[in-house]
Amino acid sequence: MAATEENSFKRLQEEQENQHASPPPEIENNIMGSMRVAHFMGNIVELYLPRVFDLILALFGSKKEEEEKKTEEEIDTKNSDSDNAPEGNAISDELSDLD
Amino acid sequence: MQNSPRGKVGSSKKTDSEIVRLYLQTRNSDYFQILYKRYSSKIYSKCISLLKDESLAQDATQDVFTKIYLNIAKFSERSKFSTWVYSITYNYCIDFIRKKKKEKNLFSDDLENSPDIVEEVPDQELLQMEVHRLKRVLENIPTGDKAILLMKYQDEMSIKEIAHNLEKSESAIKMKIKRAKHKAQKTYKEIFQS
Repeated sequence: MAATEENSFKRLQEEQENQHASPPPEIENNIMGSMRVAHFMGNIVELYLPRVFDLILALFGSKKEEEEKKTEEEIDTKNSDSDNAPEGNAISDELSDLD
Repeated sequence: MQNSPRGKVGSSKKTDSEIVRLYLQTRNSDYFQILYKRYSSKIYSKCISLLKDESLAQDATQDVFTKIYLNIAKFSERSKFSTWVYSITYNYCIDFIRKKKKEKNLFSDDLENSPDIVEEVPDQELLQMEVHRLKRVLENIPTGDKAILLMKYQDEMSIKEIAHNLEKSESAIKMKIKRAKHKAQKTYKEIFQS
């Protein structure tokens, strides 16, 4: 208190605080409201963002898997075709028979 | 119970730093509300004093608290919480006035533009001035000078803290305070001794 008495700046501050009292309650409501919204958004981001990443990864991953499956199938069909094709020796044998 | 601000038991006795720490740990808005209750009147009256308009001061108070909320995790406890809060308030108001006046620098009396020698005004001359006279003097000096005097004598910020807030060197701040005191003394004489 003694310090306040000695300092006119402090007394002025006290006087102004008493004069203007506190800001209207709407301000507090607005601040607390926007805080709650920000907190809620933060929670949503915290909760769902990793899942969104997982989803994106899964989407890209599944595309890759599909592509891989396709290429594997193509290789398989090629291999099966080559299994059915007559071998080189068989043809030469047939030719030698004709001779 | 100890961490529950709802009961408000003991929370009024906790220091600002403790409440900030509890808020950061729990993210419970009730802790922030305690800080709001402690500082809203002070910030509001500072905004009115600097902006000279109640509705602008209300908007400013809201914006200052939003800034506090968004940056509270950056409060490093190197200074007092009150100093940090008032710095945000002064910077907001100074920026606002600067934009309004479209001035490049509110603290226009930069070292290079000012006379070198300014007579030193004793602190006691300002500190013991009658309140209504001090109020009139502060109303009649540039906002930059007013803000720097309030930081120094009302909020008791150190030169280092003011320099940090205004992003100036400590020697520049010392000179600005000296000039602001000189302007206050000159204004006092003009108003009350003419």
